[in-house]
Amino acid sequence: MMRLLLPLLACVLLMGSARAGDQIWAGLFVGENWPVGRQAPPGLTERLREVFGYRHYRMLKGDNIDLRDHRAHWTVGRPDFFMRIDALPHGPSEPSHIGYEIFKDGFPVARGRYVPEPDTPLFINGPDFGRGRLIFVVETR
Amino acid sequence: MNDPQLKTMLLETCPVKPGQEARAWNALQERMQKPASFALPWRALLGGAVAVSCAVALAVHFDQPSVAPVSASSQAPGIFATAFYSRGAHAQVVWLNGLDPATDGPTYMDPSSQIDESAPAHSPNSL
Repeated sequence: MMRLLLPLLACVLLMGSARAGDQIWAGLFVGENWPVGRQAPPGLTERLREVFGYRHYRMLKGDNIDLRDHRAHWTVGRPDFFMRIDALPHGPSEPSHIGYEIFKDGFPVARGRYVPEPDTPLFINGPDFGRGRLIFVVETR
Repeated sequence: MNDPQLKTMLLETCPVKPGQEARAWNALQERMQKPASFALPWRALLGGAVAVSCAVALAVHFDQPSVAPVSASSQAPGIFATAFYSRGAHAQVVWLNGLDPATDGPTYMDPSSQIDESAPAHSPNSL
């Protein structure tokens, strides 16, 4: 009986170690007023529309990021506009939080900290692009 | 002046009319038997309802979720970074102002814009 219970207990412990906020998704979108290419999901589109006002949001790049590996992650949607994400150290009882740095034309233009929380994404307003705008989105997965 | 004297003086100056005590007692009994009623004027009730509604609406409007605020600081001159929470979108927002528009032209990362140091010095493209 113990032989059956021990692997099950180990699986439960391993699953429990992945807390909310450890898995995030970061992507680059273009806000535009005409639908072109791969569009953002409807729920995300509604939220982006509330902030930025464009009708449609085309996804250029998206990456799943595991913050538990504690290394730098790069989201390079375009060669002239990209973002670096670092998992910052935190206590075992504290939520995961990240440091982000935005690069434009190869130079850092802004940096900050963000605590990923379910159902509270981070939107970063980028430069204009054509008749739209580049927007970074970071959310929990 | 002792109590009997005071009583006598009161009876002389303010005589109790016949039946006055009985009427007062009956009125008191009736009043005690009535249920307590809060007969507030309708205007006061309406005003109270409006005030409570306004308080609830303001509390909902200014209700901030318990999310940790995002921080943002500019790292380049001419760039301004502002962080805020959007209640309508339920999202944290970092707003960067002052960025040059992105273009599809060649960038510093494109190979075409890099200097080929292995090219001969007598190249017609060299200065």
